[in-house]
Amino acid sequence: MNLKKNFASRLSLRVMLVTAGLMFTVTLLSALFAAATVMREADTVAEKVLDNAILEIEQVITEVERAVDNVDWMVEQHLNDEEFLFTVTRELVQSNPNVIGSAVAFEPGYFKGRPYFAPYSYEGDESHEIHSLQMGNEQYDYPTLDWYQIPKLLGRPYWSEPYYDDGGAGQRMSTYSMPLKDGDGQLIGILTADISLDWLSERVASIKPYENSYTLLIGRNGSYIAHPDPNKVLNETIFTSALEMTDTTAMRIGREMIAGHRGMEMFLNDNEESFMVYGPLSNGWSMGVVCTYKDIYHNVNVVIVILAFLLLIGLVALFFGIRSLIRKQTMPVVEFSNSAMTIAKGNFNARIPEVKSKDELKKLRDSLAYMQQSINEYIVELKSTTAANERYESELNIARDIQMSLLPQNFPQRDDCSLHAMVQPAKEVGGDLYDFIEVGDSIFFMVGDVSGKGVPAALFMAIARAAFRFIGSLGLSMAEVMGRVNNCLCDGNKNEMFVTIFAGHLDLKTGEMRFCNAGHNPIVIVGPDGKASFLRAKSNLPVGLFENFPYEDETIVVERGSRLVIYTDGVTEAEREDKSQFGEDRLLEWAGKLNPSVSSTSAVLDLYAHVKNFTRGADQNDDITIMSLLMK
Amino acid sequence: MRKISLALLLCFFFLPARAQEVIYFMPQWTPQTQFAGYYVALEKGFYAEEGLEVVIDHFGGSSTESVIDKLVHRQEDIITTQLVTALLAREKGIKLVNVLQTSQVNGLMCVAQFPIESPQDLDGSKIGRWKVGFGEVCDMFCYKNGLEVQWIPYIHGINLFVSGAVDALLCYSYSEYLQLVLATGGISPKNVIRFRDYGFDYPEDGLYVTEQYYLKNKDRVDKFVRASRRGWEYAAQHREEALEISMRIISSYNVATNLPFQRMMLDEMLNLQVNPATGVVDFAPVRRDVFASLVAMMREMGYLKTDVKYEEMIR
Repeated sequence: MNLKKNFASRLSLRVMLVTAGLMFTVTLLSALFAAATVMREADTVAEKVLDNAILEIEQVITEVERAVDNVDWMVEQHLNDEEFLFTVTRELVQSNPNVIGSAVAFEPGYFKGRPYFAPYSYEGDESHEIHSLQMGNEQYDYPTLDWYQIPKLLGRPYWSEPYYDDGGAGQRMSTYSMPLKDGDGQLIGILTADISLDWLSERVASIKPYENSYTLLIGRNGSYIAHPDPNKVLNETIFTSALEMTDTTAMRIGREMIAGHRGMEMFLNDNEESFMVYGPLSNGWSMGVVCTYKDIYHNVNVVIVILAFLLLIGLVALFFGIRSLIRKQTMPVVEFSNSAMTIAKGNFNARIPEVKSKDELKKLRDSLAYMQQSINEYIVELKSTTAANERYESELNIARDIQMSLLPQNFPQRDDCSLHAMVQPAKEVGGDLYDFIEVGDSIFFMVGDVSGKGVPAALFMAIARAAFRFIGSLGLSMAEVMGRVNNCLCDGNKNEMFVTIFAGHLDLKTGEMRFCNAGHNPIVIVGPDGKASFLRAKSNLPVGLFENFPYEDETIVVERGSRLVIYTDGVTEAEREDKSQFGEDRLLEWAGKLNPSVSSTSAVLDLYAHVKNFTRGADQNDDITIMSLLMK
Repeated sequence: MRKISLALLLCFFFLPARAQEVIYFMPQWTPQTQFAGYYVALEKGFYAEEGLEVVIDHFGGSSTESVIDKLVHRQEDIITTQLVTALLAREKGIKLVNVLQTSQVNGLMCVAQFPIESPQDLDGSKIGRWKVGFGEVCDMFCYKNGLEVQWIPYIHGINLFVSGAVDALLCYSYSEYLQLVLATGGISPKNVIRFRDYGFDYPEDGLYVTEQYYLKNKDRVDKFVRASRRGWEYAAQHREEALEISMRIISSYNVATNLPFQRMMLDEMLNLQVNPATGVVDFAPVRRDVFASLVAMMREMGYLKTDVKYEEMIR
């Protein structure tokens, strides 16, 4: 599959990539949202589990506390009834399933002659029979034990930290101790109720909100009351475990727990990302539920994997589906392309496939058909126009030849003068003209410039040239010649065309030149010394404007070796692309640098070359005429 | 047949010297790494190599009978106890002889619920203290600083302190202090004083026998001391192995404990064995001036009625 050449595949791939990006983003956001939701729910789930477990244990704690409270007053009223004291402890054990032992331990010396007196009843481990004994001796010095000494010192009830009792029950237990006071408020002993921790450990161990989570219970001294690893119970504290962890968060959690705070913390538990929710119990213990993120994210991960798999399959199907669809839809385009190529190769009548739909393709097809029809019509028109143009061009070329033939090409071959001239029309035909007539030892010459360009100027130029040649040959003065030519051209000049003319009659023997300037550019005179200057003449109107205009002529004497350069404004107004003109100064500069003895032919061609060099190939905007007359 | 006879002969020749009478040895407390050197000496066969058959008989922490009573009643031959305790026994007519001083630095401390800026801060406090003794150095501290305190006797004092029932607790740096650290997650150094910092740097644990036993069994005692030193030296160089050996013995007694705590205890015990004068563990005998200072203090406080000569007790 060449993607560069296959539009359908390329477009399908692009659509697929965009779709994949969008779907990936949506999937990612969904996964993040799901993870956050699961995370929030995980906290909530763990907290609910924690609260339920705490509530369950609190019920036991409350029941035990209430049971002890209920018999407290009875004990204080029967302090001297030894039998009753034993009975009370037995009753306490018998009537409270959670209580496995109970004692009324008196202060040493409270009963004279009895340093230790503590009636104690407990439930046998297996038989569940209730045994009673008198507790306390030198070996079992209960007044120094926590369950006795701490509530005594604190002056209030106290739940002991878990301990292994070897005094009777022989199990892991915790003791609730209530100080007994006499009428004077003096401490006389401690009333206790023991609860077994074995059932508590089992109960707590069964609390698992997730597969790999577990629940633990610690005392105020951080020691484990319940932990999934039974070896840790009573042997380790939460801080011994925390010491072995790299994450110090566990230490902080431990401190928060023994401080009786509630909270949730994330931490690395044996390098497993986990979190723990924890909360205190009313007796100073603290319970925590530890969950691993592995469990929590497991379900999310499964969903993400399934989503990713479906996404992949969907994208592949989408790619092939879109490609097939695009190919079908773009098939007419391919056919149009083939038709267009056939038309481009010259078969203007190539068949353009039909389209049944009314959509963009139909428009494209109609446009192509319209283009085909337009091309055909244009080709016909073009053929006709081309033929007409060719004809017109041919006629113009003939006209040009005729016009050029009107201008004398046989320049005088004389020893006393050198004359040469050229006309370069801006178009096929132009309005510039020159002429000369040799009359004995004198030469009659003129240069004219008809207003406008092209065919009209050329026709007017032809009339002017004919009139001038005829009238000029009558031997009249230059003023009369100009006046008659003017009257001749004014006659019937509906288009109000005119012509500027410089005409002169030079006596080659004497150098006397009579001339008339009818609105023409001043001619340049280059003296024998090579010094060039403009010949300033009386100003007359161009010829053809006003009938009977009184033209005036003048006479000067031309020194031998002088050169006259007569030109039209096509020379001085020759323009570059930037609209700067050749100008009179450059003309004068050229004339000043011209070798005085150079032939008129060379001078004319040299000036023309200078002008062309100046315009640098820019289109010629006006007819150029140059005449050089050197008087030898 | 000839080969077998030769092998039997070689075996007989290289058999260790037959152990004589069994030595019963009792450390002063329940099994823990406080006595790791002796466990190592036994397990690694250092006693056997000296030709001794030793039985370690652990003290159960009884409140009625001390380890010295056991010695007096000839239930034990050799015990560990503290120098102060041995001097007090001497006052009762029990002539104990110090044959090895393992501890070189006093490890007694007091941890309070509040920062202790001066000894006077403890005046009037309720302070938990072992019911079975050990707190005499603190008595000296209180005596010298004129403090009146209420002693609360305990068997296991951690909960007494954690529950807030006492203002302060006497601790050993290798035992109760570490338990407190593990129960609370850390103790502020401001709440702790060490009595050795107040001029009561009296060394503690050592090996003791009765004078009578020593005179009769000097050679065996010397061997026991030599092997015990080896045991401690080995333990210092192979802490994890010593810890493993100790834990095996501790487990056999069903003592509620844990490995990190026992490791911390062993580290601290070995620290206390470093002689501050030399900077190394050399098991130097108690210094004469320290001994004289302690005896003088105990006499001043009335613990000792008669003088005790250094040579009588330190061998």
